[in-house]
Amino acid sequence: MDRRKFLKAGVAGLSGSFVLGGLSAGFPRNAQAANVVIDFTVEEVMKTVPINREILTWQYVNAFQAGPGALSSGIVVTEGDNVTINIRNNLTSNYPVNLIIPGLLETSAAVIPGGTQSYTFIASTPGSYLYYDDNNGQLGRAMGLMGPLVVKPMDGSQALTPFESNPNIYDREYTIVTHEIDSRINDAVAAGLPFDLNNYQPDYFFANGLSYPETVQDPAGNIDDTKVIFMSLGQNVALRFINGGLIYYPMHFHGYHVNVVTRNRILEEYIVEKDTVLIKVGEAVDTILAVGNQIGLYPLHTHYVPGVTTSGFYAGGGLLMLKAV
Amino acid sequence: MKKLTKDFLKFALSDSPKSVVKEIIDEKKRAYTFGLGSIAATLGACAAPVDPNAIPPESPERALTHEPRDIVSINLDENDDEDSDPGLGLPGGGPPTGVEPLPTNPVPTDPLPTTPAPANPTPVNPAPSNPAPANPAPAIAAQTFSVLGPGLINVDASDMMDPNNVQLMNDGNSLSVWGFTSSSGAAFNGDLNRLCPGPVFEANEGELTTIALRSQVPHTIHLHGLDVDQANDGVPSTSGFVSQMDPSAPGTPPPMRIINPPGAWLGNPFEYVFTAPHAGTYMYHCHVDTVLHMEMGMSGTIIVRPPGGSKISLWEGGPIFDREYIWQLHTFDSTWHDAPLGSGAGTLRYSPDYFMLNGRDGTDILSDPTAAVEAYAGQQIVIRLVNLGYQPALVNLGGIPFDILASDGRPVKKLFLNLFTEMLVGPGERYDIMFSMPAAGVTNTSIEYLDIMGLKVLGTAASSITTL
Repeated sequence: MDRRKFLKAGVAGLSGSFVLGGLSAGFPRNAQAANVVIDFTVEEVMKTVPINREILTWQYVNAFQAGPGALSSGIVVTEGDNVTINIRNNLTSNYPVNLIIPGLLETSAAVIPGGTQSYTFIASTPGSYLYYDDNNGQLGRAMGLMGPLVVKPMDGSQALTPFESNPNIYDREYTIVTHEIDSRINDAVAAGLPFDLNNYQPDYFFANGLSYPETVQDPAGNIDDTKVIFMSLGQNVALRFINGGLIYYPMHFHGYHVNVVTRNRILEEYIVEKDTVLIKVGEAVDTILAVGNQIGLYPLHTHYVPGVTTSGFYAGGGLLMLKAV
Repeated sequence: MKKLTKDFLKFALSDSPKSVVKEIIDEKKRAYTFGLGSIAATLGACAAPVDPNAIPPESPERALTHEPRDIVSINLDENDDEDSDPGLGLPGGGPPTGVEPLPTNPVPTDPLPTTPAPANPTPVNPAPSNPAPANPAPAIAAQTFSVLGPGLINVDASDMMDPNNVQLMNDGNSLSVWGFTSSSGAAFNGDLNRLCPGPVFEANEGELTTIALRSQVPHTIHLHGLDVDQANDGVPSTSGFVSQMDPSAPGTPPPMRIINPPGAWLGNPFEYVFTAPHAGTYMYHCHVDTVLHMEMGMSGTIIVRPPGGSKISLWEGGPIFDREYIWQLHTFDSTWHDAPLGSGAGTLRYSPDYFMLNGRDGTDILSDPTAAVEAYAGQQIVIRLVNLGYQPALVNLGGIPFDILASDGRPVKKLFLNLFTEMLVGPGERYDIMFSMPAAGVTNTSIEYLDIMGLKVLGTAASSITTL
């Protein structure tokens, strides 16, 4: 319990690094492949959700590089990097965990509580990835064991698809991790009671670990430009959607259509221009929003509208806001 | 034209008896404008003159289709709405009948300048996706639904203030619902027993459209996919809404002060003004306490027609179609309809138990002319798939291959040619698909509503495609 208290991460806790934070900080771009070492511990974290409710979650924690929002650690590496992820399992109940990255690290050995394990892979293809625990089936993600990984192109460009003739250069980028919690599952795990993932029906929904209005506003209730998806007219803004949850997120844009560039790093050639982008379970979908000449505040949210609630109350969940100036 | 007809004849002869072929040609002559005679009559001045070339039907098979359907078809326009002639399509729809005397050519008569669809439009770019034999281009494709617009669209919110608002379900239950209606109280297809989905709004690309919402309770209309500016976006916290308060009164909280135009509250029309930039299929819904209001039925479809209002292609230069349908996909969780006042404990989890198409469920769908497709062999049918609900839906046409022409109001970048036999439509998404009517028979179609994990089929809405 001491550990849980120590790691208590409220919605306001690590949230200074909301949308972009943690993903852009840290690793400098370089044209040379590097050896990158990341130390993760798997922790029990009491997550505070609105309103003043604490829910047991499991998180990959990197003490030196917080992930976006209050949930899990983000990783940014460069194409060609030789990446080592060291994991220590600090769970107090008997759940061995692992970490896989579809597209880069398909399988990995589990590590028992108290144990450590190293995983190594080459960041071979630029793009957005989800990493998560699959040793516990869906339970790992239900408890929060997941996070985003972005591989930047080797040439140092701000390109979503450096491997294509149209590289999709962006001016700004945001990474949005969607996930949700069915608190009945977490409460049962916390109490050591049986649970039923076949009856998974979440009641809390998040973007980068936060719920509206914390996704958009400062504590005084004003729009916070460091939390919204801030866009300037004429810019190209990259939005990387990474679905770490167990449900679909059909993300609907007000005010603008976006171009779907890749789905799981594969070029989307057919159904490109969308106002509602379906992000399936485990998917990473990279999009570019070409900001035209329309200023204003425009919501961005799942059109599974129960996902825009918090414990049944609208508006909540992972509701985000675009701000075009 | 002659050559086209000849080609078509050759195609038709290959699998149709002569009499049917003759009728098909007659239908072509009459520009595919199907409709119920009584409705055509109500169009009055809107109706085109009788086609002297129209030949009465002869085949007994066709005669069977004369049976009038049990449809309450309402002219959404009625007479109390003088400043808004909704440019009716064909209310009621139903199977093409041989008896209707008037080939209708619904030309909007609203004061806004609109160009009627040309009688014989030549597609600018007849898309390569039309694999069917060359059809003579219809002047106007047959619709199975009626519309409000273009130009000025007057809408009323109908909600908890009216306890008589119920939706009759297939099992005999009546669920309390809310919705949007025309000024005369009609919703989708003018059926009074079907408050949701709401009426179809129609706008023309490049033309100014005004939607005037009257409401006694805070509601909005969000123009989903039209990329309108913030003031017209229909989001209460950023765009304002039909407020309970006088927005000019001191102490009114900020969101309620964002009112366009000033003075729009409690029964005064709140106007949404926009110019739709792209022809295509869109949605609208209330964005106040959205999780509840939308599920209660406050949603519908917006069609943006190509410039000038042409009704034979999805966009200017797009593939030509003969007949179009809208399949609006949605579900109800009946427990949400019991005592709905606001979201919270009552909307904690969504477990749908009614699986619907255009407001109907179960076997009611099969007899619904807005949902059950009926057309002639070889005709090009467009279905606008609109997911108004909260569940991903897997749509299949019983094995009939279809093209995906557009999604979310934009043509696809590359055309799929007859590549699909099923299509997953996520909540809030729209897909416009087109297929060629089979040579004969009845094909059973299904819409499988998946749980939001995408793993289980929660329920099915079954419809059919019948070759006449």
